[in-house]
Amino acid sequence: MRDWNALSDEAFRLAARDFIEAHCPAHLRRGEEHVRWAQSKDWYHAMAAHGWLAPGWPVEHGGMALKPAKHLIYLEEWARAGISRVMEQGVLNVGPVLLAHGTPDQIAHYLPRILSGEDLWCQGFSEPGAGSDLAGLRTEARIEGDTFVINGHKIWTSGAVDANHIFVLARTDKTVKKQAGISFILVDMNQPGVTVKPIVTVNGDAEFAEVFLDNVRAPVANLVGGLNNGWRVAQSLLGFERVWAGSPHMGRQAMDRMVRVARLAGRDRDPAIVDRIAQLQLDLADNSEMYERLAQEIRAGHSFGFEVSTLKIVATETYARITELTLEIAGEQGGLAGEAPFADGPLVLGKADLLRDYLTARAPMIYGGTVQIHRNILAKRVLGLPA
Amino acid sequence: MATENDIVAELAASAQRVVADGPGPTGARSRRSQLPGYDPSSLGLLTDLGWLGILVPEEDGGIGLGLPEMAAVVRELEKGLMGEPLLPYAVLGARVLVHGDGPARAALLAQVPAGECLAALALDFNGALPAVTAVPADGGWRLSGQAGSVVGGVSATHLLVPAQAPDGVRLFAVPANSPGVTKAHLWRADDTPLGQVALAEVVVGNGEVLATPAAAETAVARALDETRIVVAAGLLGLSEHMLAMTLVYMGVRKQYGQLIGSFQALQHKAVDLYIDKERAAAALQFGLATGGDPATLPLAAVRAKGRCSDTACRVARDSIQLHGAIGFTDEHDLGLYVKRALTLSAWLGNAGEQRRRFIDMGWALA
Repeated sequence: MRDWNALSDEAFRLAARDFIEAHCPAHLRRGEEHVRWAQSKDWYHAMAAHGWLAPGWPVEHGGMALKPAKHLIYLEEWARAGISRVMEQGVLNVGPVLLAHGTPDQIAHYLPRILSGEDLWCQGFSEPGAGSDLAGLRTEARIEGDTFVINGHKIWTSGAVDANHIFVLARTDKTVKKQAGISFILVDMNQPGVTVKPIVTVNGDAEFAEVFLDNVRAPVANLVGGLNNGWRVAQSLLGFERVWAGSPHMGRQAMDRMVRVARLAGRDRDPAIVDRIAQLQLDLADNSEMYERLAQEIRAGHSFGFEVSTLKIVATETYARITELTLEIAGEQGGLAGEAPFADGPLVLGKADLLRDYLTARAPMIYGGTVQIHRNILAKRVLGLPA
Repeated sequence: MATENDIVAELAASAQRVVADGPGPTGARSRRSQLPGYDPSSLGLLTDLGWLGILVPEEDGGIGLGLPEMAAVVRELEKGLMGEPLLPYAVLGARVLVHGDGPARAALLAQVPAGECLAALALDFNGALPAVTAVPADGGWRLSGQAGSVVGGVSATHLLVPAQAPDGVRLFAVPANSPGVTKAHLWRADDTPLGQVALAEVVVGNGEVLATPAAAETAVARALDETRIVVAAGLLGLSEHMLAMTLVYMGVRKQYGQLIGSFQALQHKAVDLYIDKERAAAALQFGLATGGDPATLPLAAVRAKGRCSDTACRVARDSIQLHGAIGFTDEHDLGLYVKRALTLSAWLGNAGEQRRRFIDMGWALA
C-alpha cells in the first residue's frame, strides 16, 4: 500500500486527479449531487479496487489513512471534477464509528462488506418530530431476549432507496434525560417491517426517503458503543468532514454559472448588476480565504473547533445569495424550468438549470444543523452569551 | 532567531500595553475638536518605541519591517483610539517618501523615525491628486493651488505635494512653514482635524523634488494602497473592540428579569457581527499576505479596505442597537469608537469605492 501522506500536497493532488481521470465515468461528472446506485456502482467498485474508496480509514482495514490535509485535497478534486456523491454512509460514518466504538466482531464483519459494496448503508437519525432537536427522537427499541424490536419513523434518510442497512438512533430508556436514553443500533433493512417511501424534494430529486420501522428486529450484538450511549456515539460522527461544509466549492460553481448567465443575458455591462456581482465575488473570495486559513491550521496539525460553524454559515449563505442574484439576472427567463433561451444563445447547463440551482442552495442551510442552530452554538460556545 | 510571526505578536503585545497605560477613550474625548488631533505625548512614546520607523527601510535609517508589523500595531492602538499620529506620518507620509526617486527623499526619510519629519500627503477628496500646478522658476519651481484633504496636514513639518508640472506630475516636499502656504481645517466624524492647504506661488528648489514624473504617480498610488491595508487593520481593531464592548453589555444588562444576552434574536445579531469580524480578519490576512508585491498590492488593498470598512460600519451601527438607548448617548464611550470607524472607513475609499475599483480592475466578471 502506498503511503499517500508521504507525497507532497501537489503530488497527491495530481495522483488524485489522474485516478479520477482514468476511472470516473463521464456520466458521474456532471455536477449532479446524487445519483442512484445502479449508475454509480462501477465507479464505487473501481475506487475500492484501486484503494481510493476509504480515504479516512486505516491502511490495515483497506483505507488510505489520509491525514485531514490530504483528505481535503481529495474532496477538492472530487468537487473540481464535478463528481456526484455515491453511497457514502458506510465509508463516511459506519467505518469510523465501528473503529472507534465497535466490537472486534463488528469491525471484522462490516468493514469488508462496505468496501465490497455488499452492504450499502443509510443513516436513520432524523424523525418527523426530531430535526434540529435530534435528541427528542421517539423511535423505540425494546429488548426481547437477545433481540432489539424497533418501532419508529425516520425521515430525510439519504440513499435509503438503494441501501440494505441502516444505522438507527433509538430510544432504549424513557425514564432518563433525553440524550441519556438513546442507543446506536445496526439494522438489516432486508426484513419484513421495513418500508422505504421516497421523498421528492423541491428541486426534483428523489434522493431522500422516509423509513418506517414496524417491529423490525436486530440482534443485541448489533448495538454500538453500549446501551444508552448512542448520543455520544452519534456525536463522534461529526469528524473533520464538517470542514468541507465550509468550503467555497459550491459557491464557486454557482459563481461561474452566474457570470455565464450575466453575459448571455447582456447584463454584464449593467452597472447596477455588476456592482452586486462584484460584492458576491468579494464575499466568495473572503469565504475562500477563511476556508484556506482553516485548512492551513489542519495542515499544521492544529485542532479546530467552532470555526467550522462560522465557515458553514458563511459558505452556505454566500452560495445561496449567488443563486438568488443569478435568477434575478436571468430576468423573465429565470422563471423557466429547464433550458433557458437568451438573445446571445440558449443557456444549457445539463440538469443544473437556474431554478434547480436556486432551490438546491436552500438545502445546505438546513442539513447538518441549520444556520440558525449554528448561530446558537456560536452564541454560547464562542461568544459566551448566557443561556 | 525571531520569526516574522514572533515579531508581529511581540509588537501587538507592546501596543496592547501602550493602550492599557494610555489615555484611552477619556483622552480621545478630551481632544475632541482640539488641534493637533492626537496626544503629543503619545507621539513621543511611539517615537521612543521606534514605531515611526517601522515602515522605513533599514538603509534609510528605519527598522525596515513590513505592513504586517505596522498593521499589528495599528490594530491594537485603535482599540485605545491612539492610531492617529501613526497613520498620516509613519504610514502614508513615510511610504510616499520611500517610493520617491528625487533628491529630497533621503534626508527627509532619515528624519522620519525620530519624529523630526512629520510628512503629510496633500490630496483632494477620494484619493484625487490635488489641483496644484508647478511652474519652473529660476533654479526651482513655483507651486500654486489647493489640496482639500490632507490628513495630518495641520501639524505636519512637511507637505508632500503632487503638482502638475509641464513634464508631468512631480512630487514636492514642501516645508509646511514655507511662505505662501496657508493651512485651514475641517473636522472629521471623530472630531480630529482634516487639513486643507492652499499654496500661493510657493517657491521650492530642485532639491525639494521628492519624485520625478517617472515615479510620482506610482509612488502616491502605492503608498495609498499600503496605507489602505494598515487602515483596514485599524478598522478591524475597532470592530473587535466594539463587539467586545457589546458582548460585555449583553452580559450585564437585564430586562424582563433576564440578561439581554440570553435573548435569541439578540444572540443571532451578535453572532452575525462576530462572523463579519472573522471574515474581515480573513480579508486583512489576504491583504497582508499579498500587499508586499506591487503587482498584487491593488487587489490586496481593495479587498482588505473594502471588507474592513464595511464590517466596522456594520459593527458600529449594530453595537449602538444592541446597547439600546445608552449607546445613543454622548456620554457612553461606544460613540467615540463608532465615529472613529466612520472616519477611517471613509478615508481613502469606503467599501463602495473599493468595490468600484474591483470592477474597474476587471475582477467582477473574471
